[in-house]
Amino acid sequence: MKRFLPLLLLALACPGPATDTTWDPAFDATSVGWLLSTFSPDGDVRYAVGGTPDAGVVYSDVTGDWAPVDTGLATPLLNWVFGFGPDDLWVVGNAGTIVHHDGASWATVDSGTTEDLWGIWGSGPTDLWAVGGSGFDDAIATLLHYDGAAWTSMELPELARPNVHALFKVWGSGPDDVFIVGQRGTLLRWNGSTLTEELVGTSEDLISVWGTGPDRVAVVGGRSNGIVVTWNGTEWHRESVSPLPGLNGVWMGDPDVIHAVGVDFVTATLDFETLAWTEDDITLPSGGRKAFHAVFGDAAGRLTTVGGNFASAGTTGTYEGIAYERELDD
Amino acid sequence: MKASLTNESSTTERTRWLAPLLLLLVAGCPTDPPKPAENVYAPMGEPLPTATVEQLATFERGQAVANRRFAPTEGLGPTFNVTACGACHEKPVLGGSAGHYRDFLLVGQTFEDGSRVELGVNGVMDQFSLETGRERTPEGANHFATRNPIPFFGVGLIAELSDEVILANADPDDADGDGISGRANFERGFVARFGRKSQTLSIEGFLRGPLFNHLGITTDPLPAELAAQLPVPVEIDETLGTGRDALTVGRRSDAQATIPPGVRTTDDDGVPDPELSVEDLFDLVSWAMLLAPPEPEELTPQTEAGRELFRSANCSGCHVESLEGPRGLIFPYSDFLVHDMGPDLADGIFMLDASGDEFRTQPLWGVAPVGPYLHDGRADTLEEAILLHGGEAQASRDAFAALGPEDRGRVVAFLESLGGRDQHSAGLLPPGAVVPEPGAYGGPLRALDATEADAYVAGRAVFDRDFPIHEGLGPSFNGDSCRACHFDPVIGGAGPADVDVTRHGNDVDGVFSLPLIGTTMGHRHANGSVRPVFDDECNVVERRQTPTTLGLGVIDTIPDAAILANEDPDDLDGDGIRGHAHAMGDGRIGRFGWKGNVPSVLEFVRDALSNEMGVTLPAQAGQTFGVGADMDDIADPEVDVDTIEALTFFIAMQAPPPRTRTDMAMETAGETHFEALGCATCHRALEDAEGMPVALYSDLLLHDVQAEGFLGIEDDGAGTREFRTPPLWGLATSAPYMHDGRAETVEGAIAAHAGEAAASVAAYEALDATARAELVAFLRSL
Repeated sequence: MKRFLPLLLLALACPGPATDTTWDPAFDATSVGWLLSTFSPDGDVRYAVGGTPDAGVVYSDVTGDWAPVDTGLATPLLNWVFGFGPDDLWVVGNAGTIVHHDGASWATVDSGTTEDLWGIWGSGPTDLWAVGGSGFDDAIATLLHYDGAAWTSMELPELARPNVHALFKVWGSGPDDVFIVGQRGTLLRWNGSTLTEELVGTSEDLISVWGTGPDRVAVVGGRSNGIVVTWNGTEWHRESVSPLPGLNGVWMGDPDVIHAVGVDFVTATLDFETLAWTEDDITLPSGGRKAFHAVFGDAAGRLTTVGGNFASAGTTGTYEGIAYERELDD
Repeated sequence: MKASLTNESSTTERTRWLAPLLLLLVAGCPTDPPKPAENVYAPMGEPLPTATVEQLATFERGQAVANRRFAPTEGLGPTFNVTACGACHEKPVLGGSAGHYRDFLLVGQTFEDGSRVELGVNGVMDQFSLETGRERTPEGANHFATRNPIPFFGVGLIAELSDEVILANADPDDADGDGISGRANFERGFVARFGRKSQTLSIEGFLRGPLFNHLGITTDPLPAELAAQLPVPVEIDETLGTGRDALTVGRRSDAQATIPPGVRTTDDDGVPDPELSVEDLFDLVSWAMLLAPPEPEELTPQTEAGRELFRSANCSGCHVESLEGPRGLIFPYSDFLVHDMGPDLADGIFMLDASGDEFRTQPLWGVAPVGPYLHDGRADTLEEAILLHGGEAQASRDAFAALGPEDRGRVVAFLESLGGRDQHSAGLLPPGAVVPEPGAYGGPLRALDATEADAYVAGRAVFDRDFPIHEGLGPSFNGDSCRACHFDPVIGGAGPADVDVTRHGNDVDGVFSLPLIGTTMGHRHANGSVRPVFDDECNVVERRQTPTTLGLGVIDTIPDAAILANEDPDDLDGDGIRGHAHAMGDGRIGRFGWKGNVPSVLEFVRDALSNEMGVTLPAQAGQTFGVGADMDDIADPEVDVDTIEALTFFIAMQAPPPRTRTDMAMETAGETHFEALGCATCHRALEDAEGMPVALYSDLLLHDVQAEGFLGIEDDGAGTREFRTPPLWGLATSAPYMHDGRAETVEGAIAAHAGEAAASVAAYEALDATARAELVAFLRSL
């Protein structure tokens, strides 16, 4: 963060040139495997995780350029990264993988499950949630909680929605206000003592959730057409944002602005109240169709999105990543 | 770089094609109006005239794939509705629609927030289960919707349309105030255009989805290099075009290769996936893309007047007459947008952005021979279909309703002139279908005089004719015609697994009891989207294959005494075989059906009309089968005696399956084995009233040939384990075998025998391979 502070002050003080909101490649991630999540705990160093089904990777720009991080661990695909600082980072992945970084070393942590884990978020170092489940018939929608000492499995309420075999992401405004989204329109809320299922008007997969406070929460999803669901503190509002295709990732810094990414290089900015959207400018790469999976805005005013060739990897056998960035204009 | 697109600008995008047009008009530069596409028409079922030699070859191969019947060992199941693509796309020819008997149900669970989760197989309620007979309704299901199969003619030309051409007619906010506010249904950013709700963009996806959902056949997506060779090529655009703002054909075709993510396309039936090769899938997709639409007729004064009425009623507001594709103007009479069709047609099914009351404007090219109409087939005629329109089409419907009968007729005549009228059939027999020679498959059993020949043709037409709902089909039914189940290899024949009848009942410690609703379950319901009643308490569910009706008249001439002469219920001769006749309570001897429970062709007709079609009958002296009243709104009886007699004459007069000998030596040797093994004890010839042998290869008696532990349905005098010896004539053309179709091959059928036939099976298994082949050759020659 420190190295960007003068820039931020300058930006605040002077009108300066217009913000460049065109997405450009952050680095050539073609050969690193899929990239599924990006995060920066402090606006200084950015991390991205992903890999292939058999081998997870962690990348960071700690040196100024994006480069692989030698974790010393052999893990399967890594799906999400979150943390509270450079010395308290958490990564989850397939087959129940949970990895913790204490600033010096990386270590796997017992999750107590073999289900794929898709998302992790916490209100603080002693209050983290992880979610998962492969989504297939024999999988179990999984919710784990970390109390600072160990991860334990949380019992889900009996869901009204049938055939829910995966929870995809979790986010909260605080320890007593946590939102969990998942397969077939599943949305759960944690109020500090109870998990409750809420029906939000869709049975599309809800893939990611982010917000800025208890009355500013955005959920995105949809496998074919993009779906956005918002919570304004009072009610849920659901809307299809087609022709935007399915949305995989969401991030909010400004309470009135939603940044969403998804299938076929979608990078869009939406107004929280009206859901009016603008598809961002982007310099498209060559090499076939890819999708963005996650987006994150950091304290340095950068918006970063990562993804891969999720649709075609199964037939081509190659796992290609993409990483883009632009300035935040919120 | 890709420029920005917003949802606020997208309306502008949709109409931007007007700009250059206006510019040209202002500049006064005349341009040639788009011309109709040339060489795009052919009789239904035939390829586009522009197809290359290579494409014609793949068209023929694809046709074979569409007609291919899958067996369980080839991947059918574990649950299914049909065994072939052609089962649902057969009317008037392969590639078309189907009658009510191929209606299927969508199933889901709807919640208080209006959302709906698909249940079943990706939302499809399969009827049959290889494991349990009838697939149980999924837990939580509270919402069904009926669908009638949709025709494919011209889909390749539709696929060629750019998104912009379709979007040009969109008016989601009814800005022009005409009450019509169609909107596109998007799939992954592109304008979808196939399916009742325009829910599918890709023809490949439109085939792979149903292959899995209705047949349980798994596929892999076409590899890029193959997809690029399709008749509507999937061009892999390395730069991904200019983005969603451009909505270019390149981008759209890129997405055509796939089906939506999240759709399940693998199963666990023990057959390695994919169960259809990519080569076969390529041929199938190519075949569909190459199916031409039929050519519209030249206008006559009547049809021209009808067209004017069609226009003045603003039917063309949605049934847009022409759209410009890359070949020029095509005339599908559809905007491919979804429209609110009002509460009466609403089905509550959400598909992508299409809501429960929105449906795609159905193309009208070739509409005449592909009824029934509307998404659920509720309209048997075009006039009914028009009058059932509502919502955005209410004004047009009302304008039509206000016309006099002659003008209505003109409108209908105009619609029928949009191609394919000459291929229209009341069933599936093509117009003017010739009656085969006496003794041949489908021919009469002897030479007929002129009166008899007319009666044979008339009876065959009744047998073939799709029975409409407004004449009494249902309320629940299995077939909407006799031909619906009896068509292998010709009308009147046997039927494949996907027209099985299902029976159910309770067996507690060997004591069988009937459900209150009877043992027969209808698979379909004529009125409303519900699944016909099934008694969930039943622990016995039995699928029954459709036997052939060919030769029933000959069997009818066999005296009771000839049947009874072979009875040996107590096995007095000690050969282990204890056949007995199905003695009915009134003294008659049953001889037809798997349980031998039907005593005559006339009773067979009455039984099938009522139990399989839900049709009520007038009483006939001495006849006890059939019902006189049902629960639908149609006045009873729903058919008259003439109809019953016409059917009875036709069935009784059909020739038995002719014997086809190809290797006399092998077959003769096989017959020797057949007799030596003891097969001929049950599968024997009987004598008719004149003492002439009838080579049906059945004693018409009931036997127990089931394996240990078998639980079946009791039918009066036929016990739960007993079935009538099925005649073997026509064996080669009546697979699958055994009462429930458990055997795909003749060899499998022999091996599936047990009980009284155990000794014969053991002797068969002791034969060497040559002898077994000779036996099978003999059986297949019957």
